[in-house]
Amino acid sequence: MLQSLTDEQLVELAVSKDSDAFGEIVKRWERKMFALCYGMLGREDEARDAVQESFISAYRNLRNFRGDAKVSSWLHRIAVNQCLTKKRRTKTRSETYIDDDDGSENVYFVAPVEKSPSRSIEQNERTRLVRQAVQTLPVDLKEVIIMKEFQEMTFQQMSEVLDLPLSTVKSRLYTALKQLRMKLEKMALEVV
Amino acid sequence: MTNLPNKSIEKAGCRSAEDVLSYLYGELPANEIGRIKSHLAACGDCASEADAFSALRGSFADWKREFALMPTPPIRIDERQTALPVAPTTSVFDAIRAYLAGFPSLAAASAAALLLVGFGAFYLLTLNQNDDLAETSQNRPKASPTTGSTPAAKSESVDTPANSSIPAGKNSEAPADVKPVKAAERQPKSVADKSPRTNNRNTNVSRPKNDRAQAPTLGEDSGDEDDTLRLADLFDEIGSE
Repeated sequence: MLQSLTDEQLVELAVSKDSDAFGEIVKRWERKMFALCYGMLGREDEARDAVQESFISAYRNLRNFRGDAKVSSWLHRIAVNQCLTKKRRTKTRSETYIDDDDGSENVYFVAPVEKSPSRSIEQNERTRLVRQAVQTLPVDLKEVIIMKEFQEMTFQQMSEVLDLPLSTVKSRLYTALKQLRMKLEKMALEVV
Repeated sequence: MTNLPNKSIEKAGCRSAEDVLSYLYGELPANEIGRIKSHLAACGDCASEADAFSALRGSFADWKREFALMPTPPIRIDERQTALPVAPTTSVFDAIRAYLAGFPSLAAASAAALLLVGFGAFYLLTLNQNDDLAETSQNRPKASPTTGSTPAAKSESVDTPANSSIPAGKNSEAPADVKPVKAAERQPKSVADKSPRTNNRNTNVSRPKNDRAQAPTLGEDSGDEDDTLRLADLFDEIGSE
């Protein structure tokens, strides 16, 4: 029943005290929100907190939701703001998220077994630098990369969520990729 | 201008960056794919930029794989949080109450602070009243013959003329020699306050309370039908028996 409703209809139901409706919204968007927070923050634990707080914030502000924007756009904005607040609160530079060794190193060893150890190390280093470079991008450029790569959204979906013309989304992603490439070149990494 | 060497992908004349990106991400319409492929084959700059972008995309692969292994965190919204939108705040007090509901310890602390302030204010008020009563009771016998113009009061009031401007609230902090001055200042006030009342009572038809309290003299005949009269009758009856 709830699965067939649109996000906007679910919000209407949730406002009228239907907690299942909000549960359905969470179910639909939790993974994408988690991906966004993870990409924005670069740390799993921070991303977990951010996505939790984002949904709480969304629930608290259900009544303030106006139908002129899409629910996906509204949730996205909440999550991005939550990530920015979190970053500001911790007052640490984004590079420190990537450079620390607390357990995050373990997840690098998910490369296919057939690859040689030297190749894995090289790839790990490359991934580390790419993450680091992404974190240094401006927020509007970073979010389009994350939306495309992690949330795996189409350009059309990105356009709706960001409430921007399709051509603007594409040119923004183009700029982001270009800047990322330049940064990596600056880091003397042979990514390309 | 078309297909100029050493031109970046976004330069005029080449295929737009939008189309190349759409092609790289597999979102280009099928009928456009052939056209972009042929352009990339002809334009070295566009081709190298497209290659660079796809290599860059490839470097996300490990990161994405890492994310794919992460479980989605369970979203928990407890009852305290769900209760908020159901009960919208209508007034400032409701808003404060709703806010404090999230911090039970803060609410308890603020309640305790309010109680303390209340008790403190009550204590100060009673202390002040007791001081006033003590002062008036001390000065009354002295003042009774000459209504507050005792020699002592006079001498003290002359010694400390500036003290007359001290506000009443600072009674407890004032030096001991100041108190009689204040009492002397206040006494006429209290007398003046009381005297109109007694006058009013006299003009009023109803009997004053103070007179009633002094009434239980058995033999007195006030002419009113109250308890004292019945009591006198009772005593008379007992006496006769």
